[in-house]
Amino acid sequence: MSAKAALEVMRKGLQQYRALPKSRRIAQNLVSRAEAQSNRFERLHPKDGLVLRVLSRDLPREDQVRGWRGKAFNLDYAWFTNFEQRWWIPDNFAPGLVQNVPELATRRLARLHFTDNVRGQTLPFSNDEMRAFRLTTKCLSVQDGVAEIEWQGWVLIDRRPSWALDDDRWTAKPSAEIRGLSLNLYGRGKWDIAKGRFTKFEMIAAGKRWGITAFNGRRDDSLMNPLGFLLTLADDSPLNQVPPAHWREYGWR
Amino acid sequence: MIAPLIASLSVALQPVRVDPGVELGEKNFSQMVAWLSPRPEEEEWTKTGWRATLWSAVEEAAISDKPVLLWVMNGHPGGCT
Repeated sequence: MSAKAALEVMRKGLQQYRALPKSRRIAQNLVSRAEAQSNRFERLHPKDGLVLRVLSRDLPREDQVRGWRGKAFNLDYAWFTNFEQRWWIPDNFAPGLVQNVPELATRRLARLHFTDNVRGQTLPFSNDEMRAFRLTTKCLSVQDGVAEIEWQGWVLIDRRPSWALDDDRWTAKPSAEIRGLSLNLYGRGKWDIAKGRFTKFEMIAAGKRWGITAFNGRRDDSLMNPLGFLLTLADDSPLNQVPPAHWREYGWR
Repeated sequence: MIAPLIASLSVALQPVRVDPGVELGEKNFSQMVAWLSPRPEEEEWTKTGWRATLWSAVEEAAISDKPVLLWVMNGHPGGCT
């Protein structure tokens, strides 16, 4: 739908809304929000934890793609509870001490958020498809109760073809879904020690991706090409409370 | 005879590191952040007062006597498109 057509629909809707008597405009006997959202993931939004806005887009390349595909970007949100956000800081703030980020944190980011959704929607990776990874956290300095944190690492995710059985098991065929990413990671953050929360979080994951999924719009662009992710702190605005695309994989209840 | 076979199999199963082709560090961090950050025109849509759930909008609409604009598409329920 064009923006002009959408605007016209909204204008007409507003006119009709204003013409209604108030008794019909206002919803009556609403159930509570808690009841309405009892089985929705939004209720688990970690307000006192860490919410990251994950933006994905292609990096510059020689054969730059024309049109919207060349400019496409996408958004997702990565959630960490109040407890889990501490995965991103070292056990102590001795400057220079390097420590591994817990595997669970790296896996959540890589499997569920470092997916090629730039042009559309895609699927997460399985634990087995994370072939190798390393991510470290280091305190660079502490000033006025704020620790400056640095992250460095890399991940290799690689989904290999497998034999899939159809309903008719005599026609087993190989899955065409071969895809993966090889990314370097670097980031900087600021952790308020007294308040126990990040005041800044910026991380880049950049490298190569390859392969396709059914709806990620890469059928004409399935070879190895560069893409990047930018992870930043999301504020508490309603817009930033959209759950992670692959929230089912979080395992939260 | 079996030992070399096992050895060659284990080598074959080792993950092959693909060069990401981008080195990241303090030197190019700001540049990379700038490239990946949304341009102002890409954030225009955020100026609309979206709510993450229908019900929070319904509650607000009932209080403020305003209609709800429900933007719907078919696709992934996570809406990541």
